[in-house]
Amino acid sequence: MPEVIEHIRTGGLLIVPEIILLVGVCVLFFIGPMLVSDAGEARPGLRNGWGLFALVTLAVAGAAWWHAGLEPVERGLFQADALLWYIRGLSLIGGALLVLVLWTQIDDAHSAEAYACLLAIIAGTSLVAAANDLVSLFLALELVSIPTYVILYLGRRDRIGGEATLKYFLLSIFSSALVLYGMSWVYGVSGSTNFGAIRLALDGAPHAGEGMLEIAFALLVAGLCFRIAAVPFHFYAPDVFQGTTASNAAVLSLIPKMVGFVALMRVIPLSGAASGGTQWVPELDAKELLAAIAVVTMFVGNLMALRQKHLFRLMAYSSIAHAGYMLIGLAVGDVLPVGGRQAILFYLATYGLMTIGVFALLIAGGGADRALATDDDVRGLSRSQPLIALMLAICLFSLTGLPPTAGFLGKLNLFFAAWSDDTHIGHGLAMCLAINAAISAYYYLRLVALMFLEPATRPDSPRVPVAWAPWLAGVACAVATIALFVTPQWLWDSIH
Amino acid sequence: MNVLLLSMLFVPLVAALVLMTGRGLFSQGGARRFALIASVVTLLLSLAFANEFLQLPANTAPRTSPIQPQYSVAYHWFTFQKAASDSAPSDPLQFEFLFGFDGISLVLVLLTTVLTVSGVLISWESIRERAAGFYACLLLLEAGLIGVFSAFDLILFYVFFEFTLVPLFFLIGIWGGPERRYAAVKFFLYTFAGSMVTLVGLVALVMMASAAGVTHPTSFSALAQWTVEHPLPQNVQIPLFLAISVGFMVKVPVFPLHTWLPLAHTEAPTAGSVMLAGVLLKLGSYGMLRLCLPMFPYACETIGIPLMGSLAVAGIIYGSLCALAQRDIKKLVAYSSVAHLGFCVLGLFALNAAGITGGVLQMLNHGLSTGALFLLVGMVYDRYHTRQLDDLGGLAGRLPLLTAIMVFVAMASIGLPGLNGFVGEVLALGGMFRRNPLHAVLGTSGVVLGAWYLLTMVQQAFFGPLREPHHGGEPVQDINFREFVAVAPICALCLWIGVMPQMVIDTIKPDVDAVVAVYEEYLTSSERVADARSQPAAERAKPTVTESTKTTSTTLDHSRTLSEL
Repeated sequence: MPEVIEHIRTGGLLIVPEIILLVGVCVLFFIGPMLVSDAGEARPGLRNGWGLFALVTLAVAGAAWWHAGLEPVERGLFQADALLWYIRGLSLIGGALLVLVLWTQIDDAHSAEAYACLLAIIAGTSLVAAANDLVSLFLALELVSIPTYVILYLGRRDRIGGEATLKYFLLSIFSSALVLYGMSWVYGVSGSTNFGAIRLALDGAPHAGEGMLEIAFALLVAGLCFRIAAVPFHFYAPDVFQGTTASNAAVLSLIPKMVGFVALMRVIPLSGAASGGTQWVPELDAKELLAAIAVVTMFVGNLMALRQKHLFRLMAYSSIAHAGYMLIGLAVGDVLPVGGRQAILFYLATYGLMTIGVFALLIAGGGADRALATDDDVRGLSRSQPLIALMLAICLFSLTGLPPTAGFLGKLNLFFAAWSDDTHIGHGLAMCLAINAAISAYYYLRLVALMFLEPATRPDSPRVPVAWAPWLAGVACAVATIALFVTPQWLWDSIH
Repeated sequence: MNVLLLSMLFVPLVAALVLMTGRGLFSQGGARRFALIASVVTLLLSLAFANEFLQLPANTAPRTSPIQPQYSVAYHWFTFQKAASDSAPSDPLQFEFLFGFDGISLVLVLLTTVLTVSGVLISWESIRERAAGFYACLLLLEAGLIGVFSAFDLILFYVFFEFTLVPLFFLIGIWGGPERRYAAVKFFLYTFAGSMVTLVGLVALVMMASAAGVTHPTSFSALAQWTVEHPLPQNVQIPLFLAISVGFMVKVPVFPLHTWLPLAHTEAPTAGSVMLAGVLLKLGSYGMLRLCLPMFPYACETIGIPLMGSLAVAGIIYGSLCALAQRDIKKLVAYSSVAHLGFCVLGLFALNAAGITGGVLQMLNHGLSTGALFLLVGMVYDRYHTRQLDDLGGLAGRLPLLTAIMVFVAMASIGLPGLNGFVGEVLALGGMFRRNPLHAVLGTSGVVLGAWYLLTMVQQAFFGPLREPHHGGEPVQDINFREFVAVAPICALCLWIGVMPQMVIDTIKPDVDAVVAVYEEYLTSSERVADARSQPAAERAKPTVTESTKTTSTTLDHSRTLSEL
């Protein structure tokens, strides 16, 4: 028993930033309700206070992250390595942006809970990368999922919001069950839940559980593809994006993707579907499966996005397409000279910037209460709000993959990664990526054209005051998109 | 020199950013004065740079690569680190901000900076709405174009190549004619789709070079050197050549991928047309010259000459006939671009010194004369708000000076001896004649057709009985000082190149010769192979010689005899 306690104690040291975040979550949950009257009313401006509190918590966690060691360690439930360091930094920075985006999208009375959920989601995202055990991995996944249900409901409490929440809830539960079932097959074959022990067991008996591991792999991929919104597990995304607030859509477009891809990177080598230990490439069967999902996902996402008139729905399909692009990296694995996994991680950072930027600017352009959500809302935006339109155009060009934006480098990395895998699969994936980038240019460009080339729908509407917090997040994202294009080296280095 | 080069890039860029972010601070007049100052400063910088460049000591060392900048400067950008576990000896893949200059890029950069000043001047009165944004886009475009021509890193080249789409999209879409939105979107999507295909080809090329252990697989000169020393296998050259060409063919545009061009030209504001016709179209032929010709000799010889040659000829004839049928002067000039760029491609794919020199000259000439034509059409439009030949006639009586300049520029564009168009066309057609006389002969018909449609246009609009559309009360004024300053330097350059082409030819000669050397090398080696094939003993020793190599070399023998005659 003392051994177990020792494990928990030392393992806990590996996840100090997450513990700090969870302490913040507890404070918000316990103190938040006390400041709200029984009638459900709160002092106006309370949300600003809680927002600041969330930012401070993230900053403290960030300090802990910055001072943590970099050498790889495995202790019990958790491990620390370069991937954790990177994902943790990404989720903290993304979290800070998402806090700013959420700022005006929540009422005072529910602000404490909403920020608490957001912080929990961010902690969960890092924990997925920190997990060294099937149990802790599953717990971390649920630490992301469960607060997501709550935050979806808090954001919009009408019927449409309820429908979106319910849809997400049911499908998410279903996917969790698939993941859990897949994990149980892995456990059945290897006799352990610890990653290291599983690896040892599988290495010791290469042919153990032949057939069973394939089932495990299929179940895990299916469950996790729900998170990244890959076809055919994408059906919830457009409805949920459309039915919820812009800030929640921003959370959904980035966080589940990070979680899903990191979890896939961790579990694919465990399910015997990849060879090569920590630097793995998928086996041929697995590669074919992942490549097929990637191709179908890109095409479905882009083709469906062509006809969307509701911007959130369009962004949902765009996020599906981007999941397809990133799956290319997973399908080729750690190839040389440009690794697919590194390309995904780089892409996640750039994608986070562009997609959070788009939603933040849609909120900022809409004024106090509602975000810009339809074609009519953004038509002629460059007349009424030139700066926001310009920044939005930068983010959209980045999503297209046009230089000089980080989105171009992200796609370029994927191109190189796909071609590094010098087979027909890799070449085919690169060509599909090129075709899809060309298709996607149509609908992103359509938005830019609406903003800049068309006259405003309501030219005489009063100028709305700009919501400064989302505005700040949006401008930061757009500027960072360009800055990252000029100096990408530090981000690429930090992936290694 | 580094300072000059960087300030040439950054002056327009920073000026554009200032105009864009501070647009509230600028009045319409302030914005255009600011833009004029910025573009003139850039022009002076480029002239100073050219002066320094021409004084560089001639590179006497034997060339190792067909593309060798006489001057270059590199800044680190992005390195893909190898994973720690890998023990492969090759270097990491690395991109650089690698800027370089040789004669060809120098000439094209000067063309850009000259035309931008004209573009700013011609927009002085006609752009009244959102002027700061307009000039910001124009300057961004200039910065992007200078970047393209000075980039000697493959990825950097592609970055600038793509980037030029954005400012031009806005220039056409916001300040263009009635169908501007459709034109802008079509232009953007068409070229973007084409260049995505190019990107795949470039990625494949870089990865191959990297796998072969080339130190900087994205630098033009290293890549070209590698492909010369280790020619790519023939079954690799052809798909790569085709993929990389697609984006450039759309950009040139080569028939039948030209359909975006007349629309974009017609709808663009005058300055946009000038930049589009004058410089942007050159990106396609420039890309072919840099990336296709030196890297894929086999593919250029076997499918380049027949495919590109016949498409170029088709473009020349089709473009000329379309121009002949137009009643809108601007559309007429736009279709004439299709024809003129056909000469350029024809020259490049002659793959010999005369042809390539002619192709490069044709890039410059077309930029000058078509740029000036668009400027003049814009001036007519500013006065009468129409460009229809049916509405105009006998303008020589009203606008004598404008008419005189128009006649001069039309002659330059037709290729009258003594003006610039003649030199380029003769060299390009002559070069092609040695390779494929049929293409050259058919191409020559374009010269005749060119005279036909341009002279018809000049005759109908400027001579004959006066026919003016109804316009505001004030009498129409002839060309004013500002417009004269915009167009005069271009005319002077047309004349200068026409009379003394040798100076431009000397500037680009070393770089052209280096590319031609690739083909001389290629021909001698394939002749050797063919000779070996003719000897039965050697034939048994080399059973893998393909039929196609033989045919190529025999046609070439034939053409050589022709040239000796």
